Amino acid sequence: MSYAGKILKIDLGNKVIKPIPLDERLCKQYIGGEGFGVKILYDISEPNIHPLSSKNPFILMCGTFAGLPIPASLYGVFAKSPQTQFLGEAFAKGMFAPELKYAGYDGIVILNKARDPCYIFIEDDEVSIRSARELWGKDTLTTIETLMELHPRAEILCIGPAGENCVGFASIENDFGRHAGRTGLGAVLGSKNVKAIVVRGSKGIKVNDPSALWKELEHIWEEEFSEKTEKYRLYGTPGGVKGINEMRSLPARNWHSSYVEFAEKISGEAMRSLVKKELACLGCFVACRKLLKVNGDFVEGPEYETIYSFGTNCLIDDLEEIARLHLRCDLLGLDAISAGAITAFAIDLFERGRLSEQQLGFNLSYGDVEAIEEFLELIAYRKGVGEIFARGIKYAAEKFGAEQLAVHVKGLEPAGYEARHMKAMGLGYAISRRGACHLRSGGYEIDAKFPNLKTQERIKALILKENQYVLYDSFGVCKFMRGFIDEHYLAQLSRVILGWNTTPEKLLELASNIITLARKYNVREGLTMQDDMLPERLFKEKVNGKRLSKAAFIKELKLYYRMRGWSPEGVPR
Amino acid sequence: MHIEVDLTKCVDCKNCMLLCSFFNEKDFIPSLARIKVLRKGYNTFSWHVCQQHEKELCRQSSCIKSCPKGAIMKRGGRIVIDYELCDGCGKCVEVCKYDAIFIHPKLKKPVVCILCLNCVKNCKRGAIKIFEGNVEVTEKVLGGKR
Repeated sequence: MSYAGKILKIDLGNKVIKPIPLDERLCKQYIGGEGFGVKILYDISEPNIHPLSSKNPFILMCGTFAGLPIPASLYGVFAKSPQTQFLGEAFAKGMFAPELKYAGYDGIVILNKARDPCYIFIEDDEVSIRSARELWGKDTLTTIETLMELHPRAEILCIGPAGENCVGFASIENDFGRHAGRTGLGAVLGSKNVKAIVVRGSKGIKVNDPSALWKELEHIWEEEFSEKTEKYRLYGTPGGVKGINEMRSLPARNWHSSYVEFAEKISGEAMRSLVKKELACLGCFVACRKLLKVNGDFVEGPEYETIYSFGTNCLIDDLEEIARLHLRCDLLGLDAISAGAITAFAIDLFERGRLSEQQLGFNLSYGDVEAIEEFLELIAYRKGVGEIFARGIKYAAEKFGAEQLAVHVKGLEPAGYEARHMKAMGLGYAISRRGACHLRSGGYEIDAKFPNLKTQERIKALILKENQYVLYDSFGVCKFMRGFIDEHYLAQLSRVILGWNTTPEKLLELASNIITLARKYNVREGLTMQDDMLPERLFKEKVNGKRLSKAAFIKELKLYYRMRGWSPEGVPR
Repeated sequence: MHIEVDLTKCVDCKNCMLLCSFFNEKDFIPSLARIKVLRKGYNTFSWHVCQQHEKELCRQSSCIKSCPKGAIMKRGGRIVIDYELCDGCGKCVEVCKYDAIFIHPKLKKPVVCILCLNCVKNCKRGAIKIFEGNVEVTEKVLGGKR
């Protein structure tokens, strides 16, 4: 029930395509989505492979509830990350995962490498590998439009030039503007010569108890118009800009500041006048996706994180310019958070004379949109000095001898929440399995709502949130629904949709196991406590009068390990 | 009476398609929905549903005229298909200018909106309406390069 029942295994090397029946034990232990992805990756990966080698499997898994009229249309992609060298995972919503389930698959596992550029075409039981010679080199939107013409009513996921060129933070795009952006898994697809996956399905999804589901739907729809989702409904994610800035927690100028004067200008409220159409993912009335018209062009976004990464971090105070860079990242297939953060780092280098005009070919300074656009091109096509930055911030920092300036954990740049002010978020960045990510734990919400928690209480709250977030990513439920969907409600939905009698406690326990398994994967790849450290700058440089104490942080880290049941070095027993 | 989708209000969530299939097919399967809201390109959105009006709309009643077996007819303002007579030749699908009638893969015969109005009732964005009168625009291009 609700599962499609098969996982598609595609070996690009010898072109063997095989559907594998879904194991029921896997469902009961790992739920779906992230749980499946982490488990399968852990099981089939050889340790210590190069992320861009043919041995790195590429795994795509749909959320358990994808395809139903509830906001749960998630798919996740999993592989060893070329950006962090640890677990790579990224998630996106939209129509792709539902369509894959309508075609009869809960996920795809891609092995080995294709010899020539190709795309994978799935139509129910017919699966083929087709030539993408004509598409190679095309930007993401052109690719989607071309494939759409070829295959009407199909759903498409693809990479851009950055993915083809194996840039460390290349993203995967679907639905003209949804991205599985983080940890550079677009590069893994690119290394396999896969430009796109096209899917069209005509099978249905059944639920266990349709009449009970009907009642839940009415409840969900009511909540989708309640104040719990109001911010997303009105402004999308940029609704957070002003509030976070007021909290002095919006990182700016490559993390040298945590507040900007011009927040009002780039806020969600200001964006509203540019919005031409609102869009939703499958089964959601909230419609947080805002389509803008900018200089006659039609752009989806920018999101909160782009407003941080290019807006405040690169000091661009104009929404239309930020939208333009957002679109540029979309077209090139770059993760907009990493791209913005690494650009701010490069600007910082430039201002300090560590990166020269000669090396770049142009001047790079804060707020210079044209130069930033040019810089993004250098990265995506690995031209000149772009080659260094294309490998990610960690490599670039070593190359320029500027580890002190670079802000990242495990090679992944953080999202737009200042860790020196937001302690739960800081620890969340540190212990996140994919590097400095805000969406593994959502720690910023703890800091915003309960800023005065004692250490132990804060870590307890963080662990609970981390577990909940794994449940969202496994069931496929959108995190923006967290105001009314929690583990209790997920257990209820499991009964109604899957016919699975489970309890909230059991679900949290499963989530905790998934986190521990992901940790085991990372430890197998060589992760040590050192990799869980926040960037040195956050301990040394003050922002708005605050910096972190390293000793206190290490104590917190150890306490976290203990509360997770791991060894004092952070190794699961 | 016919159904109209207001694309300025529609958020492309496809709940109408999911519910249509749920009520008519007992499964969630948007490709079998009798109402379709599609994103055809980066800035092109369209909707497709039978415009079953007695006089004003779909005046040609092309599906009715096209049927060699006389299996499609109008009863009380609705399109009704007599599946005893219909042999599934697909002529009606070819001629429908609204792209609103299609061959059901299991039935092997055409299906069309039966005006159950579940999509209208459950579009919480208020984008689907019952309309009396003439509508010709079923596609919206938002313009701009992108």
